[in-house]
Amino acid sequence: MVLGSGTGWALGVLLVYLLLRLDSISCNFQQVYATVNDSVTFHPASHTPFQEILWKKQKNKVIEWEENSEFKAFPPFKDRVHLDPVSGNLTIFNLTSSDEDEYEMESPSLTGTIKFYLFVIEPIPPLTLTCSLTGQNIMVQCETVEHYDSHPDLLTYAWDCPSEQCKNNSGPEMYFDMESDRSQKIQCVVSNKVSKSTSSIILETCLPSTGVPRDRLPMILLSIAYVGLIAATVLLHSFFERYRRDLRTREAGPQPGRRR
Amino acid sequence: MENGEVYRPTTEEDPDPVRGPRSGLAAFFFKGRLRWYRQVLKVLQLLLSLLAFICEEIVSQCTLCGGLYFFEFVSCSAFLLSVLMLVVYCTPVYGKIDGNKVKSSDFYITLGTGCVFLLASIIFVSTHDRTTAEYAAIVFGFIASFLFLLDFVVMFIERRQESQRRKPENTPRTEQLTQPLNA
Repeated sequence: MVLGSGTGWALGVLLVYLLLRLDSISCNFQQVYATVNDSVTFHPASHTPFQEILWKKQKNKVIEWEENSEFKAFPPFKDRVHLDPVSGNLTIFNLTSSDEDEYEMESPSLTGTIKFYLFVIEPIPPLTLTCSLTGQNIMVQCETVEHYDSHPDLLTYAWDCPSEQCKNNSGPEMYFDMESDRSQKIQCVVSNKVSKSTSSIILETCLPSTGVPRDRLPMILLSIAYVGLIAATVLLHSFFERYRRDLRTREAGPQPGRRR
Repeated sequence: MENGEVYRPTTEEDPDPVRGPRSGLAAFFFKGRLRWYRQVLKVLQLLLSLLAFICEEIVSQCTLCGGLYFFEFVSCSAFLLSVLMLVVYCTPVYGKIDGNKVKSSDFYITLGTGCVFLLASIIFVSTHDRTTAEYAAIVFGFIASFLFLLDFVVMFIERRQESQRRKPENTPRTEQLTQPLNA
């Protein structure tokens, strides 16, 4: 009973925490997207002059500054952060996946705090298009070559092909019926907030061929024989006709004007 | 004997007068027997049927092979027949055979080839596997078959004009005979 109520209480707390977190991400936080190994700058967009600034990642200090004193950066941000004391902009270099978190800027000059949520995303690896036959349809599947689990929720799929159906599809799979033009090029474009990857395929090449290898020689030989027969008939016929005509003219007597 | 030596070069060697001083391969071809537009038609027939044949030969697989094989046979035959006709018309072969028979054969061969090529192209349209080579072969096939049919129409018109030219020579005479002399 105690255990049950304890579990219920913990679940309640977790739910409230998740709701608050979700709410804070969607409403008060400015979402920032950056690629791994790249750099990112948070722009607080405040016009008040600062006397002191503190940037925090959750509860941990990132960098702090006071007027007339040195910048103090904290691990793991040492040597890879830069703070502009005039604008309050914070730049983080050589981003790693563990940098993904909420960042907060505090200063006595500000009425509240300015919060950012940083998403550090890995670039989308090359794509592969695979086809399979599902009943009367050809299914084309767009997948990443390597396993990719960096924010799969942020991935968006787009298709490009001459058919109208490509424009309306935003899923990782595409279906074509058997009557579709198989010579068409199908392109899959996967993108997230920071990168984009493209792959294309000709519909015909991804299907097992239903055709059989063809013969060439028999029909060519047949047509040569056919034309040979026609040529022989026409030429012999014309030759004998000419021969007969010449014979007739010769029998009719010598032609005036022809000296022989 | 002396006379023989004098006349031999002019009486025996009576090649085509147009050949004149041309020599080598150029002298071998004689272009004057066909009108220029028919020469163009014949050369185009040859080229397009060859292109249709080559494109069709690129195809390596077939699902409904009958249409492909028929098209292969017809396009190859059309090409060879075009070559035959050009050889007959444009080389000294023509001088050794009866011209009227050749023209009459050309008339029927062109008609037959045009019709069969058109039929083969229509059949191929409904049986091909939608590859680029097949599309190209079909396009060339249709153009070639229309050129054959156009050549036939030109020959037909020429024939009619020729027969009409002969008619007036006969008709006035009959009219003159039937009509009274004092009319």
